[in-house]
Amino acid sequence: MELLLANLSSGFGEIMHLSVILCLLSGSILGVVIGAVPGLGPAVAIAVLLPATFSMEPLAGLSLLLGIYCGAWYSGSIPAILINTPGTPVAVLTTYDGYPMARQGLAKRALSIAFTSSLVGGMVSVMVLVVSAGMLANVAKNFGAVEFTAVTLLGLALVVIAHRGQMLATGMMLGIGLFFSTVGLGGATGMPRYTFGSSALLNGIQLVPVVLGIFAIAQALILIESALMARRDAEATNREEIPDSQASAGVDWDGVKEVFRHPRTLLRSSAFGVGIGVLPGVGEFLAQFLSYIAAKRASRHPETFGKGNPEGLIASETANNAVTGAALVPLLALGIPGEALTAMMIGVFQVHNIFPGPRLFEQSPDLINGIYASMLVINAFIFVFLLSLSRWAGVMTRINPLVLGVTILSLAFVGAYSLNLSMSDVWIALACGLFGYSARRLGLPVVPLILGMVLGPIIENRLRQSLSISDGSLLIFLERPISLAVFSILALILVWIIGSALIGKLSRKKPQPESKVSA
Amino acid sequence: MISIRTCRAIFAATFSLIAIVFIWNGDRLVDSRMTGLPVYKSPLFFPTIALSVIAICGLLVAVQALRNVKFGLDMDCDESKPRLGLAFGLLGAFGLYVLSIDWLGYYLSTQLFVLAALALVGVRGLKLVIVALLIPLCLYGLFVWGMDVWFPEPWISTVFGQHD
Repeated sequence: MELLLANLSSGFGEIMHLSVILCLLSGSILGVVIGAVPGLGPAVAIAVLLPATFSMEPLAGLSLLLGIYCGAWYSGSIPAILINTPGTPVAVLTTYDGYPMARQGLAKRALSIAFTSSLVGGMVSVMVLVVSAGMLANVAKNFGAVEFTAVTLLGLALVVIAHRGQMLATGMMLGIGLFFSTVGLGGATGMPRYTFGSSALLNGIQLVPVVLGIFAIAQALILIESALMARRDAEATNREEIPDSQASAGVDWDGVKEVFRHPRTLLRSSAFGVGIGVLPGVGEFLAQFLSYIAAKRASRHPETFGKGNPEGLIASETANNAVTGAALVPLLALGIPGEALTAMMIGVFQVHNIFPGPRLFEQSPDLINGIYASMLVINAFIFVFLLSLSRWAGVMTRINPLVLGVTILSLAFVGAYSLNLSMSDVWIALACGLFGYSARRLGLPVVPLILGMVLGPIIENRLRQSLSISDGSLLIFLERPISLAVFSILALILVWIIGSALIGKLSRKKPQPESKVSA
Repeated sequence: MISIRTCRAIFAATFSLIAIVFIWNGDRLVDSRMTGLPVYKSPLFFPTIALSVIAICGLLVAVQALRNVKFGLDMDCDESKPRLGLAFGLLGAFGLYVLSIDWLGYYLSTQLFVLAALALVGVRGLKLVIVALLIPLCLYGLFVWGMDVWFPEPWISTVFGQHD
């Protein structure tokens, strides 16, 4: 406990620099604005600002991105509650009870409940990060190439499992990401691979242009299409006017108190959030979904869920915000990002020649402590900011998405160019924009591609090192206890997937032969 | 009209085919002059694994799509319909924007791109003019003045003799 407090106080010392504080506050505000605009999401903002953070101190750059990351998760509930449209996809369950509350004239209360639940989830998650990242890093200190290969492969397997119903498509996208990571000078020989004679590709395909293309450009196109469709629908039908009670949303202290009248829901939802958040690739949506279902089952009045029950709102908002800090645990302790947003953050470390993982805790404890303190301050600041400004929260939901889409496209250009002052990166971003747009429109998940790109070099190097130790024998993975355990888990997962697919196929054959569900 | 399933099958099969071609021509696409290395030290070792994953999964995705196996779209895509003409028009405008930088410079190219893109998405009148003026100005201020991002001297400035 003393060590914990010492770490945190050292972290607060680290963030007490003007540049860090400015980045932390501006990132949080930007995150709040971005989260409140339906269809945008933190990935776009992080993608666009990633090159700008490369010239900053690592803690300042990370604070900016962490502010966006957390801020968007908080404010995604604003449009979900006020206009029944989630600001970020993870706020979709917030609409279930938040919007009915707003329709009943309880918008102020719903917003206060959402922000307070988010604060609890966020703070619990930071505490879990502070406690568990160091512990996991201590364990991982004894990891060699074999163990890292096994853990990274487990991460990839979890990413595939998390996309149930799309496993093959996820595998394909992961493969594309892994392949992208091999382009350029690399491998054991350092020879050019798949560069097609282009000097621009010798340095490889960089993460930033790919992220900008897949998230910013593709999202801008989809945002514009959605806005045009919404406009056409609004013209066809008379659009529902926002009641006065929703337009004049502000602080409701009873809403803040209401959250603490449900300690079990808070605890359970936080547990779902952090438990699922630490698993690579699984994500906040599952955490929120399981938390909501559990809260409904445990409630004395499950029939009121989906009709404006504050407990439903607490369950969904606590769980999705509890993921944020927990998702940083594998990134900091093992150097393995669990999802797209933390994968993008790894770029900030790498550009400063810092490599997340167990050694980072010994080499740069100040940076780690600074990240902890930064996360705590971000959560507290966003809560106060949102509560004090929630009277004007509705304004953020009314930004013209058409103008926003065009602005994102312009930002994507300068973001990709400013990385190396090279037009090649802009062309790569454009190509990835086309690819990302097509993939998303065809129902192919794009996040695994980014994870594949980030995890590719880790797996390639560690796998080669492992096989060098064993002189090419794969049995080395079964000779070490940790890797044996990880591969046993992988084998069990494989058996479970094949088993459930076979059972599903057999059961479908009997009652309804025409309905098919993918493996 | 071509269905989304067919498009998905074509898309996945194309990537699968590209992966197979890359595996087949590995020796030509990767400089592997250092012979005699064990397989796991070869520069082709890991790319071949990645390409095999793409080839196998891509092929199976294509087969699934042709067999009408269900798949879901993400929330944003599920709630809107693609407007391919508009999307490709915007991407084309973006491509022209990139090409025009060397000729017109960052500010002028951005202004033209924003004007064209806003007109394409249907923003009209005074709003179009105000936004098209404001966005490039903000971006120029932020990136060129604020973050000192350097852009090459445009051809147009040499015509007007403004280069130093």
